[in-house]
Amino acid sequence: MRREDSELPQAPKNDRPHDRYRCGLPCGGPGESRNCPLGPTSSGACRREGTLCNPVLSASRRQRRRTLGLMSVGIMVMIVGFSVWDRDFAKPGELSTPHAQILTGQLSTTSCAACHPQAESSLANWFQSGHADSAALVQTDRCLDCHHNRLPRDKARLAHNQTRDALRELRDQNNRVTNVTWQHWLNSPAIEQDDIACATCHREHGGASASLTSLSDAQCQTCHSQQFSSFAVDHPPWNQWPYRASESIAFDHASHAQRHFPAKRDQQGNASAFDCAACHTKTATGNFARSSSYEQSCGDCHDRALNQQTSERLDLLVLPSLIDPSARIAARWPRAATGFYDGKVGSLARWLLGADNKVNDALAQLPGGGNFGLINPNNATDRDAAETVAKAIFDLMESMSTAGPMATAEKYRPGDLAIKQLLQFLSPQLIEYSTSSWLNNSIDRQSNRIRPIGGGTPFRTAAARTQDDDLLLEDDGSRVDELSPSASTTQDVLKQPLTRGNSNRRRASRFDPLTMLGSGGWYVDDSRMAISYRGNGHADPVLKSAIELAAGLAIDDPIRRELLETGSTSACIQCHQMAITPGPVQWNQSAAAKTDWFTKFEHSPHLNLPVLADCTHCHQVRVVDSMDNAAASMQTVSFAPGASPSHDFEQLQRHTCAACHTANAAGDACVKCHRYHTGGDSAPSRP
Amino acid sequence: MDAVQHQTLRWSLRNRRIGAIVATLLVGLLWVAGAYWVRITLGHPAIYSGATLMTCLVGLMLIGLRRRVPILPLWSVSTWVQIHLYTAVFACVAFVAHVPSIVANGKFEFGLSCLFLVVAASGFYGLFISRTGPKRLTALSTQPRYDQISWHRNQLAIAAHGAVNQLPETADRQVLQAYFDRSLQPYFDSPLSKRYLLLPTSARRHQLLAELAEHDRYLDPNVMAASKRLSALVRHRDDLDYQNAIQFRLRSWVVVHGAMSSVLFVWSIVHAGVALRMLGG
Repeated sequence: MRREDSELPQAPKNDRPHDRYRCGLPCGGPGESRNCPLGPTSSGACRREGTLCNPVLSASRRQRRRTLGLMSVGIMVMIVGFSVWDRDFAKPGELSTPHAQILTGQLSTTSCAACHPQAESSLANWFQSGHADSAALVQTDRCLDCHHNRLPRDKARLAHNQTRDALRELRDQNNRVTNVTWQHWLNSPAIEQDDIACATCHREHGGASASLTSLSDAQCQTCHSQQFSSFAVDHPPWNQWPYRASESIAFDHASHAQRHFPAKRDQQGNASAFDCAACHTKTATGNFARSSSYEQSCGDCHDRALNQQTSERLDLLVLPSLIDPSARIAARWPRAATGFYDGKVGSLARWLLGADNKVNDALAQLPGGGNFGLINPNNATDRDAAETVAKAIFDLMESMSTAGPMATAEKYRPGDLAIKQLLQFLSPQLIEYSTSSWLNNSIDRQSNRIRPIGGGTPFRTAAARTQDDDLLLEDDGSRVDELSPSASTTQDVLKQPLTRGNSNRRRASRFDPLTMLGSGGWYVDDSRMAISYRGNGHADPVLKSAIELAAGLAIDDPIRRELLETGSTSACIQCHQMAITPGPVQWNQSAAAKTDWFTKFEHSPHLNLPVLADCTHCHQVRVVDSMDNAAASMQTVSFAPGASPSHDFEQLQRHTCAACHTANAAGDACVKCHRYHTGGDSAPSRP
Repeated sequence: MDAVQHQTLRWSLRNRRIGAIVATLLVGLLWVAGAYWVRITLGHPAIYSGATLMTCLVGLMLIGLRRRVPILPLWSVSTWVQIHLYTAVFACVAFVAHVPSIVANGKFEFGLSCLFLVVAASGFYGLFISRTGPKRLTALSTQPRYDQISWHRNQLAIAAHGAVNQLPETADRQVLQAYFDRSLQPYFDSPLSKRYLLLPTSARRHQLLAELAEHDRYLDPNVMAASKRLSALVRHRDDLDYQNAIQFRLRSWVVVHGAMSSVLFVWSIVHAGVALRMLGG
């Protein structure tokens, strides 16, 4: 018998499958044949009379209940998960390695809130926009809490950390465009240039291996509307790169390579080779040093000339000659400096005295920048000014004599570091000597006699001693040892007769610093009644201080000009031209190339190519045809105030780099050579 | 004529499928292009893909709404199912593009990604079971409603008892009665076993039918007829159990897929809120 042949009853037609309940009685079990035609009510009550059943949920309701049960379990799991919150509960992705090392270590207890101000305190604060602790904070602020050393807060959100004007200026410099062109009217960048969040480019939670700093060319061109297809084809030409980088030493490669080195012969008579590596030595990191030391590279040839140049005196002060000193200073003003107007107030003294407005006005009144020799004796105004300045010089010497040079410098120019550095090697005893010999031993108008220079003081100059003391005379025991401590006390200088007059002073052999002060230093020039300094070749600290002092003055200040035109200081500035440019004084060449601007470059990977090991493959010194042109070339290397830094190299051509830097070779991505963050430094001026 | 109609219908289905695949690919390409554009313009690709995923989830949930509101003059449920399928495939691609790893690390995101995977897996299982299950069900002689299967099972038990009880008291009836009491009555009276529910098999049916056949040589024609009827009832019962198991699978899949989808939707909304709140700025 086939199953199709067996007859089975049809299912009841009076059931309602979508009802909430169905009959709870078994539907016709063995021995039963029933089928409740009524069914339960919608509330689950039995409609039958007599024996009641317990209605049960219908299949559809059971399915719905199971669905709701599962949903409830899932949502409860989520809620329970939030209630057992911990630092790893919400983590959309692993942090990059540098951040993970900090934020997942023991040092950090803030977890998400270290970067997300909204995640502070409790979970509820995540959804409060006005939470007191984080209302004013954005994520970028949190980034800068750690990265403020490299990015100033005020410029961190600016594109390239530069103001819009600075970027526009830079763009115009690059493009040689000064007028507004159609490119300026192209669609504006996709993001606001003055409010770029760190997370715009640096996307976290990408995993340990994800780079936070990678940036594609297309992303660069989001803001850069001028489109580049490749480096080799349409990268803008370089103006002066890489030579526009800041240089501290004005070194003329052309004249050295083409004139000086060929002219220098060794013992065999061979011309010296101009070897780049002699100065640009390899550093520990494999790059090239910007320069080597003076002693190593320059001293051999330049020491002699530099010593000669720096030996020219630098006057601190000069006692001027007056026709008739006023009553206040007349008693002590040296007779040798009396009778006519003469002498010029030194630039350093003028700067010191200029701190007093009255004296400053008087100095301005004097003709020739404090030149007493140009004063018209018949001009009462000039005479008054001369008198004022003379008194000021008198007071300056008195102050230096009594309080010492450093205290005097602080008194006249409080807080100025350069003048203190300049005077730090000036011995107070030298001032005391000059004061006592010039001022204290002045004219005795009754006797018309003066005290011998240096008499009674242990700091007499050798020149004075040779004139005053006849070394050939026998020592009769009446001479006092001038170096003995009792010399100044045993000899009452005021009671000594004047043994010399002006004629004696003129006859005195002038102190010769070239021969007697070979290693440089402060000295007293009695014949000029001047306190001067003799420099000592390279890196003389006093000359450096004098230049730094001058660099701090206004460009048009005559004192600055005089200081810098002094032979000794001008010898320094010939190479250290950046020392007098505006801004912090920069004496030394930086060890490595500056890397905090848009362009980055490392020599070391390039040197793996033998052809690039020859520096001149890329850096070709400009050829100078003749000696005159060589001299002209030297003039091109100039950092004079107001002038743009220049160089003496041929312009580096793009195709030199593009030979290797293609997409399929060494790479030509923007970030290969350019950096986004400039650290807020201002753009270097361009030639 | 029927052949032509059948051919037309086949081509129609094929064209519809090809059209849907092409449309899905086109949308996918447009979406990838959009993702690239967002990335190169320094936008937020995660927001882009996340918004896409959320939109997909909303679209996928709408099929439930459509089923519950059949009165709306929208497309047929069949069309909605097709839209649902291709949207789900597209959502899987968007999910892969959205997450840094298929199974996330954070507990919250781990739960979310597991939910998505469960829903996606149940969806693909549904794609399979919704195509194989109905074929298997319609291959049987009867297609009872799921909620009436127990009624039918009781009716089979009643019929089996009746087939034995109405036999005259003969010696061979005792043989059949003894076997019925020992093997068939527990089979007809017992509900469907969980083992069969999960893994339906015809082993017991074959065993019972074989045992019944072995008794045939001892039975006279009247009792033999009862024995054949019992054999038919055994086949009915087995078909009924098979229907029960397959329908249970279909219904359980709907329960799991629907419930998990709802949880996924709620979980995703919370995730989106947290993500937008924590967005860097």
